[in-house]
Amino acid sequence: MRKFTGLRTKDLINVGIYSALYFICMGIAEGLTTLITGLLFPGFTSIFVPAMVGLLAGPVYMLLCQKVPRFGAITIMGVLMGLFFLISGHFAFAFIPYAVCGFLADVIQTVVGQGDPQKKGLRIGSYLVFTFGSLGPVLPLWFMKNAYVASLVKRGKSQDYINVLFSHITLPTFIACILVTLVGALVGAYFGDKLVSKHFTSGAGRG
Amino acid sequence: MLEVNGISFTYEDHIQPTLTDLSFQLASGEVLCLTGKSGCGKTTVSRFINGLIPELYEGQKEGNCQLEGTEIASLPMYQLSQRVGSVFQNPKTQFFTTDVTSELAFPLENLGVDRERIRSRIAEVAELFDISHLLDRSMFALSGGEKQMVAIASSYMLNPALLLLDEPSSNLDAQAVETLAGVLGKLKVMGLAMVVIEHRLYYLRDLADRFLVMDKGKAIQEFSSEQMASLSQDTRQQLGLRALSFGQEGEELHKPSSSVVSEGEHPTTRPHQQAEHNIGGSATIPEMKLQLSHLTYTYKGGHTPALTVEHLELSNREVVGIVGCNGAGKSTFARVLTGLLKAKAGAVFQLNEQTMSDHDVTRESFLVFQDVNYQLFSESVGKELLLGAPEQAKDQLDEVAHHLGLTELLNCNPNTLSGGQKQRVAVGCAVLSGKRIVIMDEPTSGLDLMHMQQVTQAIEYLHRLGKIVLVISHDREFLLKTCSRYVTFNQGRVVRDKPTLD
Amino acid sequence: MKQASIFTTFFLIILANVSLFFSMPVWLQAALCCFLCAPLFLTRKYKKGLKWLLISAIFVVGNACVLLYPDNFWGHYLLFLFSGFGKLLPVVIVAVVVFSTTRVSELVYGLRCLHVPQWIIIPLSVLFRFFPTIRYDYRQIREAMKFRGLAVSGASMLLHPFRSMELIYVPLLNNASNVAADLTAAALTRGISDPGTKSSLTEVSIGVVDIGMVVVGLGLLGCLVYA
Repeated sequence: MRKFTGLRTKDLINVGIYSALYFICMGIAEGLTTLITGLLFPGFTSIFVPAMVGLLAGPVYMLLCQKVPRFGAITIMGVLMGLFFLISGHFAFAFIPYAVCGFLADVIQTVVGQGDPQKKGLRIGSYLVFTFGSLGPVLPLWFMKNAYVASLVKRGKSQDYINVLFSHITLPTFIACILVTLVGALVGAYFGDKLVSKHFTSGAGRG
Repeated sequence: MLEVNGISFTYEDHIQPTLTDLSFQLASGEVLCLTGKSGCGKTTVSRFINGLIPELYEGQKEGNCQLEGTEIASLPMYQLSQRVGSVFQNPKTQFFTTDVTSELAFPLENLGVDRERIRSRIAEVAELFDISHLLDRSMFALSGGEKQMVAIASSYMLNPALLLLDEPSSNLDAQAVETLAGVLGKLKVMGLAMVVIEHRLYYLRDLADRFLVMDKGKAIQEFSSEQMASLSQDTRQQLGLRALSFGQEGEELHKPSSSVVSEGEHPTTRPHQQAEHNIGGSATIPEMKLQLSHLTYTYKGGHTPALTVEHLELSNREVVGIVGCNGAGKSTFARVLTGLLKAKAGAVFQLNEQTMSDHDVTRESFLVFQDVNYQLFSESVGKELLLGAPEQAKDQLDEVAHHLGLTELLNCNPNTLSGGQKQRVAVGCAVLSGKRIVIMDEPTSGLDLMHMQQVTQAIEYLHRLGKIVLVISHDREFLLKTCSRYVTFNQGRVVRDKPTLD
Repeated sequence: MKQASIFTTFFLIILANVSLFFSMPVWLQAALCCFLCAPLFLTRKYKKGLKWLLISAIFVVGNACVLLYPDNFWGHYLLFLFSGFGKLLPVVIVAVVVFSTTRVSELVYGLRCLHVPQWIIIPLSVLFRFFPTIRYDYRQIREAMKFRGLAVSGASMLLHPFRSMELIYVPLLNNASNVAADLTAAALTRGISDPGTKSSLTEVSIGVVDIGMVVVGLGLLGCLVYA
């Protein structure tokens, strides 16, 4: 507890609740994208997942910011999401980007922005950073690519052929992925912020 | 044992104090019932005693509480939790773990008690509460009554000196309340002091040694159990208390005493008076009949149908009470009737001789959930009432709001309202979306006398408008006031259909 | 037969993730998948175990047949599916194992043994506790929406995605904050804030099964490194 003395039991429970909701958003995002893109490009699903997560989870994140305006909440949520990746069939190292992004987002929101509800710009910025944490699962694409390349080599394809094949795929996909994520998260942030300020101010939902 | 000395409290975002200078004492082994209207500050008292003030709820406090000579405020929360056990209102939200055994172990684990002692204590407490058969089950698979029993057991794990129960019965059916009373009786015999905060008083009649009635943050009356039993009906209603015995309930006619209503949050709520000059209304509205035939429904994986209704005719001339114990098929019936669950092929729904599809059924009906929170989507009551309603409903908005006592709340956020008010908002939604069948599922759970009467009035209003109204309830006092026909379910079948309840 | 302990599950997670870094011959892939399915059988989840064995078999066979695929789009598609996706299979199986054989109390105990701090454990337990509630809430909300004629079908939901999201989110988040308050009250009055060391009813003993699993696992790991 030493590090997060600012958080009380109440805050920790709130973090758990909103993390569960965030996780569900991630599940839905993954399901939806798999449904749409999965059949076309197996494995590439994870490129669009972060954008979808960003689009869906805005209200959850914004409400967490409102409920726990103290340092630690967002970091813990990032760590929890990372832990989930660790044990849930994603690549274990996806843990690291989530935890790091969570920490950075937390710094933006609660250290720079001091959890001030008036600082909308910073809050949206921190949400963008947090959403990039969900890029972690894209990493296995690299392993999948390696396995794919290995199987191509096994079939006697030349290295040149393989290089040509992948030079088209990696860089543009990467940039597209970043852009799509950015747009998704931005839309989600504005939507979430609007929803929270519309429905959850004036002490509504106070326990 | 417990001494409460002149406590006052104002929540941090409130202007009005919730408690003002309240004092009382509790001897060891004594059972005190704290009662009074909603919002009188009962729950705040319990938060004072169990330390949630100031740990969870902040504000300005005065006065002090002494537990066995120790000042409560001087103990850290985790030490206080060993001496005061707390049980809360909602069985669904007060368990922290996912299975019964862990839930019972939880308080002991927090204190670092060793494994063997946890194990023997669980066995002992499970025996006492008669829940041994539930151990290892998932908390989510339990009924409300079972959950509440586990909650009490879990708060008893640390062998507290005092048990605080905050409306433990409000979400329970009659049978579960009986079990609850039995367990509390056992604990009393064992010498455990208890403070029970309640609206439903009948099950505490023989249990509580004293009743403390509160109003506006103050204690206004104190009765011994004998005095309470001999309380006249008028005095009782003036204090805003619910009936003490089933016998008393029948005597009461439709007469919400005006003092009760005017002391409430909306002096405008007087649908009762409208009823008088509107009384001819229901006669001019044509009779509407809903005929149900061959309704069967079997849950996935179930072997026997959860619902079998061969034939049932419902009319807008009567308000129908749907009764029966838990698991008798009442809720399934409501869900099938409103088209949420698809009845097995062969079922026929006829509204005024016109056959309806499942889709039509849902379009024509409205179910007011027991947990009405799920039905509120908007940022203001006014928007909520018009959400999903046809365009012309706008013109009726003021009238409907007036009849349901919502006029002054039109700009409030529905989520900030009390349970009874939320319920009336949902009723208003049903009216404005032009529904012809309205079903209310346990509308009075956790309501005090005044709010119960307001629900009764809302039902009268629906009835006058010519809706077919069904009420699922365990609350006899309320049923006797509202319904003119009672349909009893058992094992998914209608076993009784009479104009009287007994 | 006794089921494997939580620590063995942790070991399997590590093993599966390490396997991503190595290229495996087909026989090893088959062996690894079979091995990872074992906990499902140990906990008598035969149906699930067989299902995942079958899926593994398909991928292993698919992977073994890389040379047979035609050199066109579909061939590449199959190639990518089997060799690329198949690569991730061990991690996916472990996830299935984790979610179908682990009890929350055991997981919490395991994490506590690893000295994971309370500020992770409390939110994590709440998270598991809250999942079923979300599902229940969602159903109730959808039913409530039906009565209002709001976004009844999937199509109308897709047509007005933001409106539908708002309608679902508002009651969901409202309920979430109510639950949070109630849970906090319940947890505090049951002594969660005690700063001392927590104990645990859950007992995790290392048995023959665990030792066996670890030995076989390490063996497979050795093959991975040297193959």
